[in-house]
Amino acid sequence: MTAPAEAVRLASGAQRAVLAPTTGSGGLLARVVRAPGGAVGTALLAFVALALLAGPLAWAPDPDRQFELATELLRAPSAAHPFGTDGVARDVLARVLAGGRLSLALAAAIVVLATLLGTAWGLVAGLAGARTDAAMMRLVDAGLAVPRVLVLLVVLAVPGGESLARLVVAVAATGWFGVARLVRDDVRRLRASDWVLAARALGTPRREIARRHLAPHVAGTVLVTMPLGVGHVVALEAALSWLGIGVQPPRASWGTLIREGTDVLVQAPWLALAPGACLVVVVLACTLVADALRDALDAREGARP
Amino acid sequence: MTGTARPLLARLAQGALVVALVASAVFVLVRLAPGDPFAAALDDPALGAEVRARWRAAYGFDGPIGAQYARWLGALAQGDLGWSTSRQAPVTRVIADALPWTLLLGTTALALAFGVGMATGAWQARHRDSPGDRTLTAVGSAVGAMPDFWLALVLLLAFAWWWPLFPVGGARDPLMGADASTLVRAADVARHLVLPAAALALSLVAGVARLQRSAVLDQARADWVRTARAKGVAARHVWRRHVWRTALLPMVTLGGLALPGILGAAVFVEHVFAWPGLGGLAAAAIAARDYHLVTGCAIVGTVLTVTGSLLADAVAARLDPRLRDEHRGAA
Repeated sequence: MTAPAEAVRLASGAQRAVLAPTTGSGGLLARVVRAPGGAVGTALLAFVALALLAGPLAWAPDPDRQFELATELLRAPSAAHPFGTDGVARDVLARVLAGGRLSLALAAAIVVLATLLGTAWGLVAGLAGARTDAAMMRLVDAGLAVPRVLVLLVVLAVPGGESLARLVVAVAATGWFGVARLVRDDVRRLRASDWVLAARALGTPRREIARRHLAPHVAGTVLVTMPLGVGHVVALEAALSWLGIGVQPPRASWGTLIREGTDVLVQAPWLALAPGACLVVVVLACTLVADALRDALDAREGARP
Repeated sequence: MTGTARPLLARLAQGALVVALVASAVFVLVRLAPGDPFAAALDDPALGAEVRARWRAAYGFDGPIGAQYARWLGALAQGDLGWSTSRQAPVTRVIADALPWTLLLGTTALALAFGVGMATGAWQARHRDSPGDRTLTAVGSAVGAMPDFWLALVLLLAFAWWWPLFPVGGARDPLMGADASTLVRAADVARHLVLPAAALALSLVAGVARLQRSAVLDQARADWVRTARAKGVAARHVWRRHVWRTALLPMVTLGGLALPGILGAAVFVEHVFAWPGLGGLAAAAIAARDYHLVTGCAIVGTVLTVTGSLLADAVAARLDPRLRDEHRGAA
């Protein structure tokens, strides 16, 4: 008679633990914003988003507009051009704003795609039998051991297919292994946990276990990886574009802008420094938010009985 | 010894699988991608169909895809990576010339990153939550947020141009006389090495310091450390034998995990500083549309990282008897 009683006790504990996060998701965000690092990170990201989206309203110049070539070529930062002008007399601030929109949109698309792929793979492997799991995870280990940049060089250097879609697919296809590993480990750990065991002993349907017991935890794991992924991918896209195999000119992204700036690094350092500084701010903000998010989730997990 | 050999063999097999996967993926991408690796080299519309056919045959791009794959794998197994059109030499030889430079740069950067990072992290752990700890954490976050290629550009601008302490690029002074002694040559290479190695190390050092800090803090709370303290073991001894040594293990793991990343970063950093290594070679090969050289660099780079990860595993197994036993139990 003690076993069912034990199961009930564990299950009710599990209910509490799982109910807490679902009802407290607003609390999670609040905790992120309240942490000092999280506050700075969120503020920086909000500022960048505002600047990129509303910037063109306040800052009129068209990123492709060329000013007077005779007088406005490679001008140092000034009141008229806060980030200076480039080699064909375009306003660098306007180009940084336009480039940032593309860079961040690409990064968001890549991270969403990679996260979906990795989560699906990890869920299937985690829920599958031991043999399928081992086979699927062997592929993930192989993917993690591959130098990603070198593979991307090969993929993106194939001439003829330079498009944003190829860039997004290629970077996402080489970036989902980490998420898959995390999700799979999470699912395996949860499957072996007392409260899932208890729920199963009580005859809870599998779908209900997946929805109430697995989903909230896996969602937390996946959530933390996303801001980190955005920071990483923004930098990676810039590096690839800088090398000439990512975003192609005349499209502006932070990578292509730094590439243009590299050619005149000595005469006009602001060309490379301005978009690079924006890149650093975004990556830093993403790291801070990810850290605060992880701490908030850890605190929540810690509350589990 | 069999206890350690078995899991290492399994890891070796997995490493071979990784290399085979990358090599096959490279093959599929080259052959099946839209566009033709010769499109750029044979742009001239005046070239006749038979010239193109001869080029394809010369590079092994003719015949059924299965036969091409078999032939390509056979050549790869014999160490033949094709012909580099931009260097007019076998890819194997071009890469063999570049490899020592990448190894020199990579090991220097790794040593720098781990030396500085571990010392910093350990210091931070001992002075936890002090102003110094907080400052270092903030500085580390900022440095860690800098993309490697941009950091390299900034270092180049700052320390080779504005304040010209170091040469702007290359690995040797081209004007050095043939009569220069070995010592002078070594000093010259070292001077050229500083900026690229610093750029590469800086992109890694923040992560190392952070992990070391948390590893030491974890260990400092461990039961055996408390026991050692309770027995009255000297504080210095506790740190050295119980905290520091057990905190070393995550570092070795990180070393193995950092390898693919550091080789990727090397592509950009070597390109910035015109360092004659594998990464710079790959970047130059892309600019020259030298396709065999790009794929060769990718394959050799993969072999390099897989070898490095295996080494890290072997070192971790030596350091931690628990890992050996775990593997033995599983095997």
